[in-house]
Amino acid sequence: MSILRENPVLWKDLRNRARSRRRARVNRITVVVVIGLSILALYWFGLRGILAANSARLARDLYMLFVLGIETTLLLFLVPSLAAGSITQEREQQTWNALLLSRLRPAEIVLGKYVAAVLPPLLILALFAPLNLTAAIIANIAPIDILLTGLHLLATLFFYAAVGVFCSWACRRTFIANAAAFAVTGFFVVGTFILYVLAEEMFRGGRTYLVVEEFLPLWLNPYMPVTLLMDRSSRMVTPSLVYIVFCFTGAFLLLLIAMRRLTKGPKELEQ
Amino acid sequence: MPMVELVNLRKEYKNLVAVKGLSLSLEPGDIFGFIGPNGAGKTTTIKMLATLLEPTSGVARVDGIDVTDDVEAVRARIGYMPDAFGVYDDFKVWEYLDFFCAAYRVPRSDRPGLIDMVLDLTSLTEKKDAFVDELSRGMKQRLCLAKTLVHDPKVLLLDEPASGLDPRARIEIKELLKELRSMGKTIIVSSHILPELADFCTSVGIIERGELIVSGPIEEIMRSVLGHRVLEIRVPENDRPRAKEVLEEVPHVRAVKLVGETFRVDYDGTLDDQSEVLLALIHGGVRVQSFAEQDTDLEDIFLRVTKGLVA
Repeated sequence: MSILRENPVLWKDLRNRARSRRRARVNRITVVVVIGLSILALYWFGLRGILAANSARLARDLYMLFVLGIETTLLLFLVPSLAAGSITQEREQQTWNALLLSRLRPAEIVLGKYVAAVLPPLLILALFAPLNLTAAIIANIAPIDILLTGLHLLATLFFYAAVGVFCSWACRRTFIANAAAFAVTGFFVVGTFILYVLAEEMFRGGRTYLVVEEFLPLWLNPYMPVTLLMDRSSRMVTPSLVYIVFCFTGAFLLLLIAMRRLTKGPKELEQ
Repeated sequence: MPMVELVNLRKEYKNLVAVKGLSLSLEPGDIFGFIGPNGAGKTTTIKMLATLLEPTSGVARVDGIDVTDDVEAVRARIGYMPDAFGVYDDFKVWEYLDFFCAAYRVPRSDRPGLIDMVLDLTSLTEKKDAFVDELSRGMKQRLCLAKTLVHDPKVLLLDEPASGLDPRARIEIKELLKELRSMGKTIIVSSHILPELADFCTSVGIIERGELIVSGPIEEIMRSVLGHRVLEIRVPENDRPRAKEVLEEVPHVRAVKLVGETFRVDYDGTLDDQSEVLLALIHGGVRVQSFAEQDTDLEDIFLRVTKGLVA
């Protein structure tokens, strides 16, 4: 797609993430060494754990730990903060109008910012992929479940990056955009559970019990669909499908709104 | 066809009218100096021309294209340099320009030559491989101007391009604008450093509270705004009472005022008649030490106009 291959915003943002003039050379070396050692440690302990697992159940637990405990959590912390500064930083350093006045289309600007926010976490997911796969094979997890779990991670990445970019478009300051993006993330992670507790209280009054698996808002919680999918007793596929469709559709709509509004001119000048 | 045309341009915010029915017409190659106090509406007008603000009413055209009808076409024709601008500090100078070349869809093969050309024009060739954050403010200002030139715009909209610069950097910017004028660009430049505008602007406009009070070539404005001259005459202390008597009887003398050791004479006669003043003094036995017409510059006009002396 030329909108990505020939997109100067994308390459500028990627280059900026990879190279920071203000970061001293010694700091850069430290960061590279720490990241390298972390990856080595991850593979060392991860593979040891998987190979030492003497039962499929233990391997399945490790798979869940990688997918939910580490990767999903990492995405929920990393992606909104990476994306929420993408447009506000341009506003703060007063380069935003120059971008708007160039011949770049709003779609190129928004998608450039979006992809630049998505690629680094995608690289992290790619690093985890061999570990996930090894654990899944030893745990005898069905290929369709592996596929759904992979799609779940991608859906989480794409949706929360879109939330970040949308907040960055909607807010003037990076700090506020970050706060807004994490508020949305917090709602899906914690808020859906709070909703469940409140709903359960209401139902309990009517002497009816509300089943976790059937409480639809919880299907949008980033941790719940995979948990329900991996639960051997229930193995619910629908929540995962709903979650994946919701995330991809939500990401598409959020980006579309930002692009369409941007076509009408810079938001900060409308008074 | 005018290169820039504003007809009854108006911009309203909630409780404020920023620009009130502003009309203006600039031909290709014109350099228009936009003068006015802070908050007068200069930046709002420039932003409307730059397609960053939508006019409430009226028409703004660039090269015959309405800024609200075809935003893309207008943007291809303008180069806008805001008063407060930012740069990408982590970029090298050539990378920064290369980014904007790509953003303006300059073919990849044309970029190196184009970058060298704008760097040469803005005297930044030596800084090509320097990081942007290593540049002085004046250099950053020139880099920003270089960025606005990469797509060869017909119209340059420069909002306070010399603000915050030291005298040397100001002179460099001024020379650069003269160079751009020689390239046939139509330039609208707002500034509060009035003598500098007078140097190279073909016409100026004075705006206050959203209204264009006067506009046109500087000479014409001076004639229409002032309409009279101020003569500065110096005589010895003993001759001053006599000089005052003589001056008050000369035709076309409207007022005589002693300021320090100099008489300031408000005179509304022609330049040819002006010699009559000197002759009258000499015939009246007054020893004249100096006789000169007070220099009137853009600053005087600006002060008179914005004080409400002309409206």
